Amino acid sequence: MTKLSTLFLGGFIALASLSPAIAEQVTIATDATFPPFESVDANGKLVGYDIDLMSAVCKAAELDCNIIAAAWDGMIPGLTAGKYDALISQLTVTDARRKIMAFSDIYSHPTFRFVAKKGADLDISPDGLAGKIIAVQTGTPMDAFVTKIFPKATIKRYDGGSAPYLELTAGRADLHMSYEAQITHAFLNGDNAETFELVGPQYTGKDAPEFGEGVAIAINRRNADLLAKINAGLAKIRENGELAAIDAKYFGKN
Amino acid sequence: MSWDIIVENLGFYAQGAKLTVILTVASLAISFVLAMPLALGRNSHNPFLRNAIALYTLVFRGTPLLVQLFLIYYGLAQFDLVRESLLWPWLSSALVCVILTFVLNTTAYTTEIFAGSLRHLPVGEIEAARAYGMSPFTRARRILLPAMLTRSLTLYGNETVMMLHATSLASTVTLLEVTGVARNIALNYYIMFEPYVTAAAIYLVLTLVLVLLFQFAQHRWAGYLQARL
Amino acid sequence: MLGGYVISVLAAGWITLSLAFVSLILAVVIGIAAALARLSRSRALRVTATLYTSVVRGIPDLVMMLLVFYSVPALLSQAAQDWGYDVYIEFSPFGAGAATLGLIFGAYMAETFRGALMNIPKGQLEAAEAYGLGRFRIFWRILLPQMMRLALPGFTNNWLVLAKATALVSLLGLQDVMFRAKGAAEATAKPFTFYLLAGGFYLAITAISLFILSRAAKRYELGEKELAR
Repeated sequence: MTKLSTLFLGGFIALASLSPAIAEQVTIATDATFPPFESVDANGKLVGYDIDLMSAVCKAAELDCNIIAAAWDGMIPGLTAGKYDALISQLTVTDARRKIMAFSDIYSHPTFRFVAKKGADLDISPDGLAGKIIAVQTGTPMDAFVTKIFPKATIKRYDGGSAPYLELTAGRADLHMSYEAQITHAFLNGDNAETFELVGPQYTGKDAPEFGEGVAIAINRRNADLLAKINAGLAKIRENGELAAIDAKYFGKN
Repeated sequence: MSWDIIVENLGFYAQGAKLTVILTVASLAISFVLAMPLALGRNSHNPFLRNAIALYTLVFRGTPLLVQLFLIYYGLAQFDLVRESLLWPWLSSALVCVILTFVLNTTAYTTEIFAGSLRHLPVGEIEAARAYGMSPFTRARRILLPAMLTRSLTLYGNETVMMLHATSLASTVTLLEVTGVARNIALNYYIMFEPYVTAAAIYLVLTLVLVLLFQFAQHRWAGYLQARL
Repeated sequence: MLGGYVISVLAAGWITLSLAFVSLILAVVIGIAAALARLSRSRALRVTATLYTSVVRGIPDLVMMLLVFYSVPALLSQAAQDWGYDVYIEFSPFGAGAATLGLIFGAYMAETFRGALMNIPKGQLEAAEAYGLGRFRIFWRILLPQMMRLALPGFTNNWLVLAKATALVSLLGLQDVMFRAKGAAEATAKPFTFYLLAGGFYLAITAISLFILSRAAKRYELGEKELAR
């Protein structure tokens, strides 16, 4: 081996070992650009509904969990490659995703909606939105849905959940589609409620396969053991009312 | 290996490559024109002019391009004043914002490269031009600028390659050039190896073309500067 | 509320600086190795090193990072599984960032060091060999001290570019200054404020580095006579 390659190999091994690889710790990734479900607060800490939920599940299942913020780009491939043991990020269960990863029991059934400027008088139909600009997060069910159903609209894709809102307020996008709970609780609270509103119908998995069956925790397909433990933990917090408490904390009575 | 997905999407890559080339050429062309007078000003006797340009190049060479890009694309849109101004139809376009940022950035580097070459021009040539009675404008046009350009070729060649590579950042603000296409494919098909390797290959080819272009230019125009041993 | 975000953005400066320094050390080590390889008698070493510096300098930093963070682990894990090992090879964003930056700037440092080494008068090497000094001794006592002086301008430049390139690692999820600035910008809808803050941070690093390194350059130049222009 030449000096260089030995150097590289050694370097890679050394750096790879820098990453936390403690045997029993479960690494869970989340895309922390999605308040109130997951976001980074002013002190750099991960907070949100999904964070609370996951911590509760882990405690109930007696797992040593390490929840980290990851880039949305690499979360799903990271799971299949083994970089992450599980993902929690309001991940919709779709057939396409079931092919490459395993899901826990479903813990929520979100609805999806458009948000746009008040008085924009938009006709939510494939022809009505022709030429309009729709902002979505890349690789999400909203992205897949909007791409398929509104081909005449201009679709702008962003790699995080919060950037589309900036574009909406800047006027660079006419509409944004996201989880209704997220729009209501993270965007339409405060000043924005005066200028923006929810428009169009409420979409669920029944309206389009892209919207999936509900939201669950994603787990590497090979790790049946972890899947069982997480499902057990989920069942426990459902039973003992912890799940309901988290729901109430973030969304009032659900 | 899912190379079939890449083959299916070659059309997108081609469009991405086209956008990459457009971004590179447009930014380089505009900044080339701007950098020449700025380089002259950077070496001017007037301290106010000299320092103002020095401040500009310091700020744009001292901060990451990513920061500049976000500042112009997201940052400017924060202000009502900007959104209601005449410039908004332009500034709301990602393409315009990106080219504006690239121009500001590469002009700063190019100005410093040109200014550096100007400083190292043989004083004798400039004195001779003065002795001949050339006006400052003619002096600049016939003596300073040509000599400056040929002496800057190596460093400017590097800068053009940097600019080509910098276009990959446009993918962070919705533009679908080569890197944007690669990230899109990775996110939608869940494959992590093939898209990025393809993107890397495209950049290697484009870089090679640029490097060969500048080697030719050096032979053709700056041959007289080569040391013969 | 804004204040809390400002503090958290600046606090991440620690991560940015550690990443920059770790990458710098890697880059210098790789750079010296590659520079020596390019000047070695072994054809295999020369070709490998040239291939390395050419390929790495022909791919944008961002694409390189995506390759190292996403593609390499995917490839390695796939290979490991094909051989029956149930091992998952992972890189943390810090690790991948440092490895990538080290690799990229190792190539640029290699060019800088190679240029510096080539400018050391050959007579010194011949004299050292005539005295019977071994290869390591020659490198450590004769080449290295002079190389440091000659390489300083190029080194300074590479360091500054490296320090700014760390901003790209935020795109991999590393919670550095840029990542925090982005989060704060989106949470408070004040992108201009926070990207300006981030820009100011990097500008400070640039200014301080320039100051320290120009002092070092003056110190190393004591005793050297420059060709009068």
